[in-house]
Amino acid sequence: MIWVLLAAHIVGIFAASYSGRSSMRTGLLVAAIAPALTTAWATTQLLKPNDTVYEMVWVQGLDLSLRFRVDSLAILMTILVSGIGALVFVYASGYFKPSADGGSHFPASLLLFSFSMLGLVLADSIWTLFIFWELTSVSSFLLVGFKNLDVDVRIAARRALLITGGGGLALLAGFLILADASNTTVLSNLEPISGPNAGIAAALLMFAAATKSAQMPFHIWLPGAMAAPTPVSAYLHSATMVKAGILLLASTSATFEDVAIWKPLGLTLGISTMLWGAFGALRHRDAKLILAWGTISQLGLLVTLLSVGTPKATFAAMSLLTAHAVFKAALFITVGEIDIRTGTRDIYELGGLTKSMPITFAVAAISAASMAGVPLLLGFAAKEAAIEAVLDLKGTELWLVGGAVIGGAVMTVAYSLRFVLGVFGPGPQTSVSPRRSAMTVPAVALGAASIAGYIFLGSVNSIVGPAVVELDEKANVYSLLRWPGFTPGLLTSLSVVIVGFLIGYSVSTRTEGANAPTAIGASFADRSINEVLTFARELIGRIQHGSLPVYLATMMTTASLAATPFVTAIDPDSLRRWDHVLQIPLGFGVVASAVAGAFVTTRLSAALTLGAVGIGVSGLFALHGAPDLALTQLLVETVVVVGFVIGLGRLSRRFPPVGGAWHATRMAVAVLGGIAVMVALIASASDPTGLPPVAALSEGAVEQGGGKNIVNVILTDIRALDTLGEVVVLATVAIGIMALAKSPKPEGRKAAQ
Amino acid sequence: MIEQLLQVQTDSPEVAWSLIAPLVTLALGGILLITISSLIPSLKDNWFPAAFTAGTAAAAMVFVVDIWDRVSSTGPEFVVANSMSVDQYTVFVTGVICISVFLVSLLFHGYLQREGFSGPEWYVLILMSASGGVLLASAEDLIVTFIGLEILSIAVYVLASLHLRRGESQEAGFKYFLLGALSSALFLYGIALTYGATGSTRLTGISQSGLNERGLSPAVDSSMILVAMALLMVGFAFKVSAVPFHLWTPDVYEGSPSPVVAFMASAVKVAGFAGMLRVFFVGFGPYVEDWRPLLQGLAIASLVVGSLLAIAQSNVKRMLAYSSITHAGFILIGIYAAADPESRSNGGVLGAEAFLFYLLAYTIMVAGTFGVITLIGRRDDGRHSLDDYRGLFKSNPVLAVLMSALLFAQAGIPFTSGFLAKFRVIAAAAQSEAYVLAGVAMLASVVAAVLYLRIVVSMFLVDSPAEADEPDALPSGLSAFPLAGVTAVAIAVVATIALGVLPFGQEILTDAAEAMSAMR
Repeated sequence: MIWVLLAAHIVGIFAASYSGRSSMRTGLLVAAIAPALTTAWATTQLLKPNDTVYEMVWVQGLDLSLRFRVDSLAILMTILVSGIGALVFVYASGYFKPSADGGSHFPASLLLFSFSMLGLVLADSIWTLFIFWELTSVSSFLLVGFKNLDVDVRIAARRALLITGGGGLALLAGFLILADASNTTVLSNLEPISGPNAGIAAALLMFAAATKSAQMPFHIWLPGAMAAPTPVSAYLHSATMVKAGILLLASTSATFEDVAIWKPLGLTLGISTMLWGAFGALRHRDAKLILAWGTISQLGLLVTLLSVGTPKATFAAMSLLTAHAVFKAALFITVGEIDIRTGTRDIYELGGLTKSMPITFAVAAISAASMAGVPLLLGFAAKEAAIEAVLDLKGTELWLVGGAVIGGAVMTVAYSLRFVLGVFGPGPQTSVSPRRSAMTVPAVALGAASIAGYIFLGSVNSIVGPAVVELDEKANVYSLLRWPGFTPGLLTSLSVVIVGFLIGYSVSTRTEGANAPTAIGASFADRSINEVLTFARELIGRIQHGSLPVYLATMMTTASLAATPFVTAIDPDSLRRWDHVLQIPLGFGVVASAVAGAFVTTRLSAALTLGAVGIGVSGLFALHGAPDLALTQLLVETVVVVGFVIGLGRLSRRFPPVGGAWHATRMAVAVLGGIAVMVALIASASDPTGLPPVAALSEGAVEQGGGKNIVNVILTDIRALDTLGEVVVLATVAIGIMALAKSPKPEGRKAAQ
Repeated sequence: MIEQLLQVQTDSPEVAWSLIAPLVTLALGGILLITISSLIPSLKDNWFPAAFTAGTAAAAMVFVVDIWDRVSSTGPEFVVANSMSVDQYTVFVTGVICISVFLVSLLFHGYLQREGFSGPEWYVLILMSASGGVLLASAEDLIVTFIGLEILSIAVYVLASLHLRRGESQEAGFKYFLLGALSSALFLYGIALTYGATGSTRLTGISQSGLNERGLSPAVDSSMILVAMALLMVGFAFKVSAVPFHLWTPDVYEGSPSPVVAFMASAVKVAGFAGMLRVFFVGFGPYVEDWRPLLQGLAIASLVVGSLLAIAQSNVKRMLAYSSITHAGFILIGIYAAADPESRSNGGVLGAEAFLFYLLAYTIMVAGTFGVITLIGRRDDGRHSLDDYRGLFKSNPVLAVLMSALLFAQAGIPFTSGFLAKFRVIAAAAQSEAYVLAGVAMLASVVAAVLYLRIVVSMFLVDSPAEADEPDALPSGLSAFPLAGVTAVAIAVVATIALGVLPFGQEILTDAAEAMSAMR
């Protein structure tokens, strides 16, 4: 069944892309089909106990397989991902104008994300998880970067991709270590591991989770991602994708329970994120950013609870995750509607919406109350479980974690109230465009879910409870309570609500500080990225200047310096002054021609001096008793000089002038190259390996080849294959020259001028 | 007189033609093509040269399949007086080169018509170059290696400058030629030093002279062999454009005709890697501890420089030039892992598999990518800035989607062959405990992902600044593009996704990888 559903998503992606070409709305509604089907299927699975594994081996040698597992946890997450997904698609069909641009790829990209997220929550192999994790990053980038020509937006998208992409790498590295240490790649078979490698793996996975779930200091990408259209923010950046890190922590925390750094690291990240996020939510005046920072804070709370690690805290974390997905999606959806219908999200500009947008107000108020933990809503029950869980702790942990969670909860109440008062409170009446029912329906559904969840708390328990048991078997004794009685926990959470209410009220009435605060850290990250870019450009300017002579000189110098070690290998005793007197004038002639070649100014004389060098060398060969070699060399030199002369006819007579310093440099490089070759030759002559092959060659030439010109016999017999190869080289050259010599058509020549 | 000649007994070595059939097919195909089209000039300007070339590549591929079966049962065969060896590794690489020739010949067809060039020379040069590549991959003697390298290169030097109307193309060809000639000279120098140090140019001879009496560690205690290895490495590093021998790459990729770049980035690179691997595995196996650090250095430098400099570009061809440098880094990691002396049995084969799979996957995806670039380059092949890709989705949705799939593959996004390629490389590196390399590779792949996704996003941007009445605006609709080119791109995309999704061909890969590991 899983395969069918995943395939349905893929088909949906193409169908949405195709049908979206005519109108954005059709595309979105087509895209909603696959998530809706998935939700329906998951709902039917709810009350059955099931634990089915679907596996397709992918690459055998690497243990790379697509492995999915349908258990209670997967079902819960599927309902959240696909259910909210389907609602968001419907919502988006109202959010965008039917004729909006990008209809052919926005719905498809959003469905691609939905597909990736579904795969992620169902994954039961670390590699499957990794693959879908990466796909969520990519599809998120495509969605944030969508349609925005704004530079800021693209920078934000890039920042998000780099941070979450970096997290993906850490995940890969961590999984590689984990797979090695625990000898399995199946997520549900992971055993607790220990040792130094376990610590590294734990840190890497914690890092990965922190980037995806926007923990301090990696949270900076999330506010920037708010540039995306609101359906994207509601879906990715509050309800689902940012929960991926949480899910990762939840499913691996049992593996790392023996690792010392796991818990302190998680608590540090979680607590600091929770408080800093809540603080951010109190500072901003863009309603969407308030929600984004609120999300960061809530994610911090989830990480904190999971790091505490007691069964009760895990239970609270998963309950809170569920409740948060519902109320935060609803809140984003209402903000999007307000944005579309009034044209602003600034809480200092909005006002009087209670009358003009009553339904939106009701949904927002209920969801915000659920977020604040006001009784009689789903959020209350979950928050209550969280507070109970931290109050159960002992000693320093109680003070530290308990204090932080309660402080965070107070601030949550405060920013929830500030949000509601800011958006809907008294103020100048904002003009409002007509309601679009496609936006209202999902909002009402999600808003009602917060109430229904509380009324039917028993059903919620029967869904969340078994899911948590998948993570921690000892959590089966806990359940969400409709009314806990007057326990310390309830008293605490009631006082949290009261204190938070007071603070929120006093904060929301202040209107000074009209400037929107800039995100601390984000600018630093962007500056670092820009610095890297600038550095890259400078580096290109320096090493990729396009000057051929400089490339050549650099390579030549490097290669020559590589010969330095040969100096030690030279055996001075093996050196002789000369074997024949004539070598002296010939040697001088060669050197003189070479030096002359460096100074002549016309091309013809350069060709001739080079020829002189070659002829001198062939003379040296002849003196060494190798007339055949000398003959060959002489022929080659002649042909080359003739070739040069023919070619020179098409060039100007003189070389272009060369500056003095550059000329000197070139000569220095040339001399260096010459010295290097000389040193290497002397060194190899100092330490000969075995007998010189000349005896064997000359014997073989006469015996087998039946010829006395050894070079010729080598060419035609002994190394005939090489000669054949060289013939092919020459043929290639000939064809090449033929092709190059074709003059361009007249029309083309005009274009070139 | 004639009788006399006939009586002369020459004990020439027996040539097992059937085993070198792909090589012969490619080279003879080239010669035949130029002969036929010189005799029948009317064939020059139509579909014939492209079809002939693609057919030659396909025929060579048929031989490849046949030889694969043969060497699978007999084991490695040495042919032509032991100067070449044919084993599953050679056959695999030959197959990859044939695929590249096939795709590139399809790209050439529409390109030459659009640019108004005629003549079979382009195709002939591709075939010649490919035969050089096959020779390079199978050479057992450094001199044969060198000849292979020359045949491979010279044809491509010419191809790079064959766009006679574009000054950039001439410059590219000239630069490539001069720098290539220098690197060939260094390579030759390396051969000479090897001969000086070991007394042999034959790979097996070199490796035997490197063993001491117990047949273990290097006994030739000479700095000469080290420098020789370094120089040979430079020659290969130049061909595969590994940093710091990559300097030509961006300039040449930008200036050369786009389909030629497709060939350079695929077949030339594959052949370069294949030759490097054979020379170092067979010839310098005993010195693995000496040259493995070189590989590591090249790999790290290529990954860092390639990915870092790519993001600062605004010309798509230059971007992809740098990205090909990054890919070279990945492939080098595969060799590094495959050469792990500690884990011949496990990490070695994993690394070899990673290396071979990367070659195959990269060849197909890069040929496809430059195929799209070829299609949308407009006449004169000059429209390659990022802005020229803006709004491509609107005018040509199919092309944009194909290009996105290829770029996703280059970025290593799951369900494409690129993901599996990178995953295999990183897993192999981790297996042989090269954590630094694996880490650098992972970082580079994130930076590179930004680059590819930048192109993708730009294609999907809705506003297209392109003035609609611009004379050479990109035609909309697929039918405006040459069928052969579109087919090549489509084949590449299908293969890229199929390789990324379906788990087939693992046995082939394992066999070739084992043959490769056995060379050491």
